[in-house]
Amino acid sequence: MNEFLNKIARILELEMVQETDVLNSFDAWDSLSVLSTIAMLDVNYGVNLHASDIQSAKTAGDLWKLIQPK
Amino acid sequence: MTIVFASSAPKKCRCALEKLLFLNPRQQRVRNGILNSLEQFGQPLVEETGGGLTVRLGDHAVQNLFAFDRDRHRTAPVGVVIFLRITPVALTVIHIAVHPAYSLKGLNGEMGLGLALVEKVKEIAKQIVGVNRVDFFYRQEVRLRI
Repeated sequence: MNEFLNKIARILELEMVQETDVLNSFDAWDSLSVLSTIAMLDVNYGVNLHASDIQSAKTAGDLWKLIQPK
Repeated sequence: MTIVFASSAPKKCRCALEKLLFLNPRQQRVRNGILNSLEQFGQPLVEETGGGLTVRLGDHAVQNLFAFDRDRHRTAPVGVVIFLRITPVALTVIHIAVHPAYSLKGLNGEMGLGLALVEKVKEIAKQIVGVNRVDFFYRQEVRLRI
């Protein structure tokens, strides 16, 4: 999961992101970050999510849960 | 809030459109991407056509999509996306701008107008034979599968 959090941090132009961090609390969490996250999840995890899926995630940990096999 | 889309903006909205495009407070975040796009495609120019205002990028055959809020008193667009088919397999978003109130964290941001505009571009892309993704010129690592 650390690698995943590092990728999210890179999108948000931060040093690090914690699992419990609320995405909306980051200044850089905007439409472009949501789209960057969708592209990153597709390239790295083979999951093609819709923007509304990403928006339903409150924390970085919630994003991680989205890409776990059901 | 009722968002509708159109391929041009009313002629009386020139000032508001220029403000949306050129004086957007979030532009700093994608500064390098904008500079690259200016270098490759030139300065966006608002021009009058028969149907209203559109945005031109040099001689490139760009397409425009404007977003309007029908419930707003003003008729000015609240968002715009300019895109182009650079390669046979992708539509590339060259510029996208959203009124701050309609950004993801704005007063009317619950839907994220930037995301809605991109969804519209994806819908258009799906209808074009051979196109299988939407790319972002501002952030070239962003490639959205459709």
